[in-house]
Amino acid sequence: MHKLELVILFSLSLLLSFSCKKKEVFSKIEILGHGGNGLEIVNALYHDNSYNSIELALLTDGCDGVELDVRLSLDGTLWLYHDNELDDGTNGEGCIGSSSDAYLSTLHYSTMAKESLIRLNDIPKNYLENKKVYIDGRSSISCADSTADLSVYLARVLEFQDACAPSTEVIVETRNDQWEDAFALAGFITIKYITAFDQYDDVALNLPSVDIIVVTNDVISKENISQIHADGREVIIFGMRSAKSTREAYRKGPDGILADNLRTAIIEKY
Amino acid sequence: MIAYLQSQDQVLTVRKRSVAKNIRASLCIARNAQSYRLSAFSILIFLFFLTTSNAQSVEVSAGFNRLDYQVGAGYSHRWGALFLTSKMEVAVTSTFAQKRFAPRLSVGASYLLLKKGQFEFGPELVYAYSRQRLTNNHKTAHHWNELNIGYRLQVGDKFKFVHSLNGGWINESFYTNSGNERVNYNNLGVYAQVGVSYTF
Repeated sequence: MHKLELVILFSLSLLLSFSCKKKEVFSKIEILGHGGNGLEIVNALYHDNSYNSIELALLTDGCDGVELDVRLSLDGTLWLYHDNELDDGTNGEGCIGSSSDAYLSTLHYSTMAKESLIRLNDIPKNYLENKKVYIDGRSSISCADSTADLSVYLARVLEFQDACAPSTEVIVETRNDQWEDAFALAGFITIKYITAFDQYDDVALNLPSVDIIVVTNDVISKENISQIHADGREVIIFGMRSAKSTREAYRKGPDGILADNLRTAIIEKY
Repeated sequence: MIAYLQSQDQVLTVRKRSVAKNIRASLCIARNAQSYRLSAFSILIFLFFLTTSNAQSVEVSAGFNRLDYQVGAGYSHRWGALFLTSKMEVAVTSTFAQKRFAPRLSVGASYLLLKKGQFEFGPELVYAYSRQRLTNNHKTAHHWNELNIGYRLQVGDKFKFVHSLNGGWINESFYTNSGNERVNYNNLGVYAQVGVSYTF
């Protein structure tokens, strides 16, 4: 029995010693919760882009903001939803762009918690003070094979921005060139998503107004990021789920990350 | 006159502070006394278990809940079919991959009502508490309370294979980044584990 006690004590001290080592510091990197508290991770308590997920992220110490997938409904309201079609993750059918507000208000995600779909304006503005709101402007309406009305979308985003506190920074990324130009004209900083670093040469040559490059972690290196920084641009990277990939991403020195696992990303930073 | 009033005002402020400090000190003493009583109570319960139970066992286990993978060790007492376990685990990713200690303490009761040879099975009720600090600020650490119900099965004689699967309620609470508001989130929880125990 004494031997057994010693073994238990030894194991516990070993566990403690493993867990108390000083880590690297990545204090300048901003953490934006992808879809709120994270995207498609097994241990997320709430579905991405749901009210609880966003609120939980914004109130968590260490979170600098949230990335939200924003789509325009048939009635011209901005709703939060990641996928193209509603039957991919909710009890509904069709697309956000082909659905009325009344119909969307009845829908919920197909999860244990059955979170409701929410509008961009449902997020309390006081939670957004001193935070960054990264709007992923989703233009396509795949069900109707069409695109959302740019002028209405832009007007709604501007209304949202006006309703936020001055300390809230709203940035918009869209993968539609026409929308990109319109948002730039409206005074938003320009964000360009690239799928491989080869595409950056084109941005550097032809799109001098681009301020931020968004790219997945697995296609960019530390040297690539240094090159983008040297051109006076910022880099936001995403696509990290594990602690290891998050640490690797931090070591590359981006300006921000879209954290799929927010808790892991915050622990890794501090 | 004004100077006199100002000085009186200062005296009052100092007195108020002093009273507040005394109240805080008394509350702290009360809290400490309460925690001593709680500790004494826990020790008494432990001694009661130690002297009255007809079997004791230790176990090591690995499992997962909605926070992380968990590994740990536990200590159990048994009276007939009733089985009480207290366990300490650590979250694997946080503690080992991220070097941030994240403990999970649990107490559970199982009633192993089905017994056939070396096979035992029965319902189980487990309460667990976990804590994890995300930033350098201890005040904004996240706390989780879980209350799960499920089953436990164990197979073996002195050395036993142990498995349990539970589901129920999980609550996450923490002080917000502004540090002055405590928020709570409730959801459905799950916990599954496998382990090995030794009875003595």
